[in-house]
Amino acid sequence: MKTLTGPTHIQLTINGEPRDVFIEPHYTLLDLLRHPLVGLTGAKPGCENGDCGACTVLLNQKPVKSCMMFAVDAEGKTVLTVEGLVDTPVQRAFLKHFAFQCGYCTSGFLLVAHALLHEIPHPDRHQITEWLRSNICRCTSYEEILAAVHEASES
Amino acid sequence: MIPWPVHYYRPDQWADALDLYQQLTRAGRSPRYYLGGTEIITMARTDSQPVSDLIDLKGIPEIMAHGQDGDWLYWGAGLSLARVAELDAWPVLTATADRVADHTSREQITLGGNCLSIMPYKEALVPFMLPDRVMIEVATSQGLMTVPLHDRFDGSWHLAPGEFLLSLRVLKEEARSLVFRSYKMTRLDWVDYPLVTVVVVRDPDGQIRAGFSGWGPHPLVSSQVNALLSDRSATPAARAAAAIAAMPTPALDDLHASRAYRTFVTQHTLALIIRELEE
Repeated sequence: MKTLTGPTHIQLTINGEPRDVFIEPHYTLLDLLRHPLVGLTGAKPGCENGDCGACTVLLNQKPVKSCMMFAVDAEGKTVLTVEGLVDTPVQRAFLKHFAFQCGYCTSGFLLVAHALLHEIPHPDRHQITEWLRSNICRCTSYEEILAAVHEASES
Repeated sequence: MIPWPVHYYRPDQWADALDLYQQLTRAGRSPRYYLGGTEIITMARTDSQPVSDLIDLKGIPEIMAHGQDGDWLYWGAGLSLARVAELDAWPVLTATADRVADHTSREQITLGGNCLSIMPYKEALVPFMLPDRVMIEVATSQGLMTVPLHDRFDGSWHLAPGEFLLSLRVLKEEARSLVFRSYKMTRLDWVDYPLVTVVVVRDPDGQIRAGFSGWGPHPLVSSQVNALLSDRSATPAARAAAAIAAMPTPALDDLHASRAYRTFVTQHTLALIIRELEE
């Protein structure tokens, strides 16, 4: 039986790099990623209530809200944060369409869109909307985000 | 996050989980089972009875299983709602589970977590309240028990301290014979708690059964309402009106919607569904 009663190290892969990290049992995945010893601040603490999606990362290629998941549940799995996305079609499309204003929500949207295009390379508008509904942009850049994801899906 | 230290355990067998729960309880601690963890994390900030120990049930093989067992289709309580929808083994469950929360959250919310949620909605449970025969598998101190759902859920769950849900089961032939509609109505946005979720099935004899989530403090099905909805001598609109008048409890009246609005929307939707199912 796996037991954690205090600080414990777990192994996982973050952005393609095997990592051995210390966690407390009550840490969320967001706490772990943003901890100074890991230092990945691309996943944003927004609502920390599972509503806004600003903390979205990919866990084994599926989008998850990292504020709503215990860090220990990521043990042995593969995590992709926005820092691990490099020059992807969806990033290029976001730049082209100015699909952000303040940018706080952008990492979450990028990762959801990246996961979508991995799972459904050519999604229709309904599928794009359904996936993106998981995230909130308080600046309301929705049309630009939709256009960017649509364009990336055609690239 | 949980703003206080907790202990974490991931047993590999259901019996170990039960033993651990009992040991921790006897030691005066406050253990809690979890699967996806979304509700525990969300509620931790306001929880007046803080959890001291998390017992992660995802290591138990039976709770993550799914498939067919003889004439029965079964889903482990630990399957995420996204996985349940992806499996698409029972379309009415797919349609209902796929409207809970949002796409990303459904990767984390589990079938068991939704069915046993402290929130009133429990939408994924509603399809299971409609067939004649639905069984659940429960881990108990007497062993694994497979019992009818209605023995353990009558609006409230009746699970003894330490017991937990392993799986839900429906008869494949009956499940597949039901024509259905599943509508979730929200106030403004597509992603929101439901004003009301209405799941309606028509069996091969033409009898209609309806389940409601969000109407009251817990999901409900009423045999009287079903009889009125099945009365083909009346128009769909008249049947919907009669059904609404016979609901066992009045509609909720809260911040999401007034009682009058919730009642109107539900009645209108019921009439629409009956028309669709009988066309």
